[in-house]
Amino acid sequence: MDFISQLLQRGIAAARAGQTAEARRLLTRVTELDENNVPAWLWLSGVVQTMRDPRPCLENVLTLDPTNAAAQAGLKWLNAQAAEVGEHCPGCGAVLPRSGKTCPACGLLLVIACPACGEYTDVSAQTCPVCNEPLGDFRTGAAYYLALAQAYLDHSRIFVAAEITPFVEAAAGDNADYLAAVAALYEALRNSTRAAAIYEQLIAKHPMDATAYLRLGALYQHEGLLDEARTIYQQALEKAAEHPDVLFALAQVYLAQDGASQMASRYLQRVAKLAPEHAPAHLALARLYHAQGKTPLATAHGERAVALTQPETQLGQAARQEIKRIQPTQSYSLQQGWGEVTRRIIGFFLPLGLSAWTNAQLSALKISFPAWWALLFGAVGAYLWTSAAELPQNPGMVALCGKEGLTQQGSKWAVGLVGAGLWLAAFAFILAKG
Amino acid sequence: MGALLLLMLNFLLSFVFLLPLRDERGPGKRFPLMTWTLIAINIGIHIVFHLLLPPLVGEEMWKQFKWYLMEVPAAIREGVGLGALSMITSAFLHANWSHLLGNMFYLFFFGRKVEDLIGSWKFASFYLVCIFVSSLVSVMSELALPLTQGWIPSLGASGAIMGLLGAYMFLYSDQRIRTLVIVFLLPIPIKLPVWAFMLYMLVSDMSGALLEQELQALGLLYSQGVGFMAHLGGLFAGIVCAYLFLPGEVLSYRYRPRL
Repeated sequence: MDFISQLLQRGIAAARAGQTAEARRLLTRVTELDENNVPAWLWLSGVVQTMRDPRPCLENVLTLDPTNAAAQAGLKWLNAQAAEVGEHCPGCGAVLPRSGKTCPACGLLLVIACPACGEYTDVSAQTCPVCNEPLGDFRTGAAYYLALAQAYLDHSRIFVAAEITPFVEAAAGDNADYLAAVAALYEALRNSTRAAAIYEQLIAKHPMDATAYLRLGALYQHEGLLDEARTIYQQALEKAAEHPDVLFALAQVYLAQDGASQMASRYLQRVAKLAPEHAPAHLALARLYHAQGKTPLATAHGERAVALTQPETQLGQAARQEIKRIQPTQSYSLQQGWGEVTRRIIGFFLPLGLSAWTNAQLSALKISFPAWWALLFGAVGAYLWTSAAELPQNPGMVALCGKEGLTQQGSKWAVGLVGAGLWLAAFAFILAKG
Repeated sequence: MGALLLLMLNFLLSFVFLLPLRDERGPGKRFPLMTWTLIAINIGIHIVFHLLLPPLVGEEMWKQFKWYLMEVPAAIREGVGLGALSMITSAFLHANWSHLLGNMFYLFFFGRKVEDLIGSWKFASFYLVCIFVSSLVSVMSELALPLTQGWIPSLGASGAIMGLLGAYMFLYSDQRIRTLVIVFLLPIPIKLPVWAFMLYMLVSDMSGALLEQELQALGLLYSQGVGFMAHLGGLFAGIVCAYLFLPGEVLSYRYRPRL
């Protein structure tokens, strides 16, 4: 007796002894080694785990031996069983015909088209048998329809998604999460009226939940209904006065209505206080203060927004652009006045003045006439040096050289060297007790 | 009574020493060229002046030359000697190696971060301003001393270095310095706020300066050999004059509100 025959005999013996698991293991091994083994397929059909599994075993037997009476009887019995059991509608429980597109009792969808490849498939399938696209779970009702509608939306099948969305709404019942998702679906389908109605329904059922207020307010904002949006946010604030997202949304409405408003600033400051990590609030404050000319405050909030965001995100990029927008203006504005020029010259002038005073035996009256001239030349030198090195667009240079000031590299060097030379000569003259 | 209290305070403070060990300088900073240049100039001058010059010119001549280069307040008042130039020359002379190395360590520690903010050339100008302001405060206070009346010469970079410490506090007031606090020879490593470091310097210098004044007023010739008033002048110069050398952007950054 060969090895396969030994395995077959052991499998049959196990099946007869009621050891189905062992019989299944041995008989499966026989069919793997010899797929034309009719007795193995026949005995295997009797020890498989489910009602569906015997069918391929018996079909294999009939392929190998079309006249096999046992296999024919077995298949006949299986078909009769299937007709008797049938599929039940998950909506109303009615027995379903195998080929219907909707439940004849309640109208529920039973056959769906895969959103990816368009292939029709049974609703019980969770993935498309052709392209393996996930289709959702039919047995959980609203979740299935939601997944299906979102899948259609993702694949730009707007009309099919619009057909399915009422099914999601019908299945959602009072579930707030599903209702919010349905409203979001309606929003995506540009059905704002229906979306707003569902948000209002949600607000009525869950008045303390700020999310629905926020969504409805955002919807109104998107539709340009700023007064309605503001009313909704204010209602939300009555329920949750310290909710940073509601405060931020309200500030956004004020900003959209009248630009740099005090109310917007007040709400944004509250957000920044309540949620110091709220990067959009810091960015909005930076923009607001920049528009109001409050540069240090704008810089501070802009830097905070930069610190709180990643450079690759949209918000991060916006924050970084805002800082760049603030910074050049800041240094440019500082270059405009004589005050800044004076501040910068005094530092260079001090050693000259103090030297002259020291050499005049600590009495300003004793400073000699040539020393006064040296001080004057030193001050001019310090001005030229500073203009060339740091303040090329100061008022003096603008008056002398035009609107651009001292911009050419060559003239900068020349003026800077003349200035430094004058300053050094004056300092040396004073130190030498001139 | 006041002199006695000051004497006690000075005695107690003489047992406390602060050695800064480490601060946060931040990544990507440039090499502090001017700080190292000033250190190199100071060390170079010390080597030339104390090791090479005496054998060449003789001990007596060297001493006269040294006195000529030091800052003597009474000479400045009388209009003799180098005058304002002596303020610069004395700031680059040191009494001995420990005086030099101590000052250079502080110049290195506090100079780097000040130079980071104001730039190398401006740092040199700022150092010069600190030299002048600290020297002038020292000169005027020395002239007011009843016994010596400004005839004791002084030297060293400590006035200018105190200016750097003042600027450091002005610019980095919210930072902390890892410091070795040595109390009665017991070393305690601790992270000190910059203001605490500054306060220690201020209290020790003020008490020292006041004690000198008090004891000389009582007819006692007392000196610790430290230019307390130069230190105080330097601190004042550092805090006030740092403002004059800062770029506008840095000033704006410094005055931004804390969020």
